[in-house]
Amino acid sequence: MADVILKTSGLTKYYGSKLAVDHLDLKIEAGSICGFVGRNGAGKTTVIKLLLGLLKPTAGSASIFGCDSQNLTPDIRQRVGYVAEGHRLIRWMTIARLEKFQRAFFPGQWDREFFAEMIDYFELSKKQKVKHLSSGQRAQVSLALTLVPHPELLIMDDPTLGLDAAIRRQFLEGMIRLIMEQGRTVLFSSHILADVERVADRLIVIDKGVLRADCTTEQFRDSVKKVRFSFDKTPPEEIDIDGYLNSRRSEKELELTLVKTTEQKIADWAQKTGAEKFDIVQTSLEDQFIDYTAPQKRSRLFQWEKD
Amino acid sequence: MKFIALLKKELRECLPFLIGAAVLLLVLGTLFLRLDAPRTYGGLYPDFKPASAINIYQLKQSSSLSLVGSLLWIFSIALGLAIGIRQFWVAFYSRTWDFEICRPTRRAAVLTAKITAAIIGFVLSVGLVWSLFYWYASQSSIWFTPLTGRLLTKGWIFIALGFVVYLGVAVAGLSTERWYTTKLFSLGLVLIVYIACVSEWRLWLILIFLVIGILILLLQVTEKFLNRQL
Repeated sequence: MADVILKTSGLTKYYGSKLAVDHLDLKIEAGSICGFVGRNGAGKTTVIKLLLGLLKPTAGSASIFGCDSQNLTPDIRQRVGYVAEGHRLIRWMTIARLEKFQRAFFPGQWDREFFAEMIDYFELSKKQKVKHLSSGQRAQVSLALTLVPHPELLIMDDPTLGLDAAIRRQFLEGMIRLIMEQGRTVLFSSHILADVERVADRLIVIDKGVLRADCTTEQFRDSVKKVRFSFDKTPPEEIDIDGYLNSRRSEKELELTLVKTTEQKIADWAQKTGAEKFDIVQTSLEDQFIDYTAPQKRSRLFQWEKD
Repeated sequence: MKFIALLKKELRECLPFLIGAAVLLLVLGTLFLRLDAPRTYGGLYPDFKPASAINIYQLKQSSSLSLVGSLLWIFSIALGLAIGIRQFWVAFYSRTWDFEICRPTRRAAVLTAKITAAIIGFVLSVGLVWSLFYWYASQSSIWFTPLTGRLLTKGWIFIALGFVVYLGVAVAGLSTERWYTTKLFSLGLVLIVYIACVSEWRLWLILIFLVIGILILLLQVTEKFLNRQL
């Protein structure tokens, strides 16, 4: 079994009275590339900051390479690459200066040629000042600075946030190319499933601070189903099928999002409620994720309700 | 290597303030000294000579260098404010705190680099200019008022008070209090130290006030910096 690189036990964080992370138990083994997904405000950034010791947990603990996150030593930090949300770098520095600054913290680990190659790949010049870079270019510099010391664990907090489609694609391609190195473990947070799908082999879904899923992308795809039931009358009010998550209804149709339900159970429920027929709707991972994490009240927003 | 990189970064970020303060103090101080020279020697007060001075206090008050001292007083406060804000407020507003703190080094090293840069800054900027003025005034033959070592020390006390302001601003910047009135509470201590120092004439007592003030604020800065959350 591979070594556990990152672990949380009952990790909980309150901001005042607001619960941000709720008893999160997580284990990430060496070599896995995990997509850490959740809607905006789900608690992804808080979890990452707790992992890196930038925030103190209200309860529970987190550790990286077996070292408690609250006491990460410089040696451990040297093995961790962190790409922060928004790619905030020191504005007055040029890329060359930023490289020199970063290099000082990784003696013997800094690969100058690799950095130059990456800057070249992203079509940047070392003479450019950070303050003159676009957010996409800042993201690229940030990625280069983080990857060049070859960290064993790479933690990226929504690295593609705010990037346009073309830059996002280029960034992801660069990232895929570089994380292919053997043994590198990646935790990559995002709210864009398409990005995660391209990179990750494991999906960790968090919603309102609660761990909702921890599985491979294939398992997630197979588990979450959208089923459309057609009726010749008004669909039933009560939905008592196993794995029911949320619904959308029209006059004679009922669309249910179900998780971990077999086709047999769906057929049985259709028969029980007198549905004329049912179809399993083909959806993308993105749609599955949205359905999976959508709050109940959201599906009622566009629903016409009789007085 | 890591510390030097951090120190260089901090010094570079404070450089505009350090150069600005040194140049302005140099220009205005020279102007004060030159304008004041004729006043004391055959100028506005031709009869005022050491022999006609009642006491040493009068002589000291008439010293052109004490005029520069009041400039130094203002510049030290301004520099303390500027460096403190640059080092401890801007990182949160520009959201570069993560980048600074996630370096593979101890937080204490990041803080030490900041404080060391501030001390070097004060010494090399206003400190150097003040010492230069003292040396010039004591060399020159155009001022008849004798220069006392106390005048030089007093200037350095003003500079140290600027450092106290810097620490107070640092504590306020690192504070996570939501209300600005509470956030700026540390400046109250700065004010107490300030009043105690400028209202006291005994040097040893001033030094005690300074040391106590600096120690309290340093402890606060360290505690807040090491435990600061986002």
